[in-house]
Amino acid sequence: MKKDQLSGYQFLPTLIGILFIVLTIAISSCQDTGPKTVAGKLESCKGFLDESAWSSAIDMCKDVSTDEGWHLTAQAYMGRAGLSMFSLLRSLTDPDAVPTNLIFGYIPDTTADSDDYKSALDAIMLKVETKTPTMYLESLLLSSMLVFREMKLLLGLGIDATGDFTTCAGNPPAVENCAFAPKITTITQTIVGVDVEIPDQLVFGGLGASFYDNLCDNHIADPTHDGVSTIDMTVDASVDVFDGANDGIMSVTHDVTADGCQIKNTSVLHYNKVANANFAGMSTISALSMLDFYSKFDSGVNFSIDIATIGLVTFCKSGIIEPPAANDYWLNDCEVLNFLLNPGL
Amino acid sequence: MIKMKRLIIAAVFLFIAGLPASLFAGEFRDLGQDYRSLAMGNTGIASANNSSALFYNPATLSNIYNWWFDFPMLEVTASSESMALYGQAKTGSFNLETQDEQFDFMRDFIGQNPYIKFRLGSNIFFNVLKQGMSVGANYTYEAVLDIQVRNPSLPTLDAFARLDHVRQAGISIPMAMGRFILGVVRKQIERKEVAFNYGMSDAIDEVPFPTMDTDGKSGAGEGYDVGFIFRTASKSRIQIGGVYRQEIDLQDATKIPKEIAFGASMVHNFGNLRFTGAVDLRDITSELTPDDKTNYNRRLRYGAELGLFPLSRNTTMFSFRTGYSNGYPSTGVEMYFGHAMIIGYTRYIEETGEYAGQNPSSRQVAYASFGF
Repeated sequence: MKKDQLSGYQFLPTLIGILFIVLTIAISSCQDTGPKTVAGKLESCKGFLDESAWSSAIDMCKDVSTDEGWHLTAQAYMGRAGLSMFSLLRSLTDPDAVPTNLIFGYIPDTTADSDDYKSALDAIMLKVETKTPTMYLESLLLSSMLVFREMKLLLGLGIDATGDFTTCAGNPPAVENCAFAPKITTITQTIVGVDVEIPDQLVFGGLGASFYDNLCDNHIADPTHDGVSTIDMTVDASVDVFDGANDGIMSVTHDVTADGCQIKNTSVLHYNKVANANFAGMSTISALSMLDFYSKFDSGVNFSIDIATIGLVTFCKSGIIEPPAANDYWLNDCEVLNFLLNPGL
Repeated sequence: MIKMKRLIIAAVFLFIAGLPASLFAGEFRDLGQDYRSLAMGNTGIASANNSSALFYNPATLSNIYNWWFDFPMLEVTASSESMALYGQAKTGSFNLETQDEQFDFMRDFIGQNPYIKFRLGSNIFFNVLKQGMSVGANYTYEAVLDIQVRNPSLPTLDAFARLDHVRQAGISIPMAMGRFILGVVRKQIERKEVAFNYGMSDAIDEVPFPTMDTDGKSGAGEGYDVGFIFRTASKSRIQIGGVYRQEIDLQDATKIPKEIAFGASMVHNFGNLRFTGAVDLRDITSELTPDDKTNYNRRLRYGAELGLFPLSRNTTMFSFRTGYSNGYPSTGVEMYFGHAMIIGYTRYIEETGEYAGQNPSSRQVAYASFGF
């Protein structure tokens, strides 16, 4: 090629250099700043999780709107509440581990943490369409921790140095030791020349709204029940107060406010039931059946009060407070009091 | 010696442990990415002038003006986070057979992305006509191990391992007095790979850890690339190139996708200095990013090379490189002692997410080849 033919190209290196600079500026200025595709959003969601940027992860993972995205959303909620499912599950694989004792250590401390646990449950149970055994296991553990929190608040549930649970009821458990205990006024009656202490009035203010709100997603404030009921009683045979008949009927005046709830499909107890029913069990985690709190609560077993010289007296009486039924998705103080004092932990 | 030991360890755990990862949708896993091209922003469609020519564009064989035979060619690419993995491999503590070992690994590597790529091969290239006719062939064994442990709350181990055997031979044919070059390369590829997610629940349930042997997919196939180079009549040896890669079906293994790419390059000498510039636009038809056809920032790449003491029209004794790819800068150096020994080093960042800045993986490449 002749020199004059090349003259037209002598500025080309400069032009190309300028082109490089322009390209650099152009490309740098039009970089993407956020994900556009589902895969991209999922990647961002995982990135935030890796960085423990929980709130950002929650927002991003929600936006993915797939089963995986919702599951990761749940884990972001757990992370924000300080719950390491990794640590918990790993501990549970220890064959000597007692699940209830282990998860006691993961009870949410604050209302905000508790709300995040519940949000995590909602994400798994309501949003994920095809749930895996792990998701049910997570739900079982989360719901159990929320039940524990309510028990801790209401019953003063604690754990002693030997790993045994303690409650306000003490050992042996007695409802009188707890703040919510029904108050029973007794009177002394002289029958056939013998002084006998018999119940005269039962006063109970109810367990309150927050327990039911947090576990059933609603609360029914049953109005005060006033009335008179009778107690079928059998007296110690050594006290011959009924002329050898050893039994009799006493009347008791009730002044009771009973709280209750209908277990909603968005509630902790419903999630606990579904998770229990669907968790197939993992080979190295066992003894989780003790976390079946729904069955323990909605047991249909009526709370009984032990009255000296008379014995066990059922708390709910037909016509005053209807006795509970099992698995009817309704709870009231009668069932709950029974569970609280006999949690089977 | 140390490098060789690392290579052996990497190869051993690829073969025996049969390791980890899911297909990270964001990374373009091209075959034959070499240290020079990576340092120059992974460009090479018009600028390749070494053993990677057959991988980038067979027409760039015309950039070769001499001949050589490499044996062996060794290249190791590793992310900074792979060093911890190497440390475990070195002490023999790297094992994922038992539940506790899996838990410990997840705990130790949460949020990390150990990546190791190992290439071993041999190349032969020969310039037939100065106008641009060259022939070349190579055999490359490429092994990739890519692990990512995500989500500290409930860890999942995403793992990907791939072994490729690539045999290829190509030719560049000058036309129109060497202004236009046509290149063709025929490839034979055997691939074995495994990609999986191994989560906390799998570990708890003592699901056997996947391996290449038990869960790998394999396949083999053949295909070709056709490329061209148009050389302008300028002092700066400005070239425009393009390549069409045929899709290669690899049966059960991931196919080699079709690709159309274009590039431009220039080479200008200033006494003992040689400046090379390159721009590539890859994946024109968005085969690698089917869901996002607009992300040109990922596909437009450019780079530059400054060579000291030119030894031939395509080699210099020392080379310093820089580039821009995936939204990140890259750098590299090379020392060239004839074809008896070439040593190269590159640092680059690969985006494994959707866009620059989302999930970068910082990597280093060490290269050495010996031959004549």
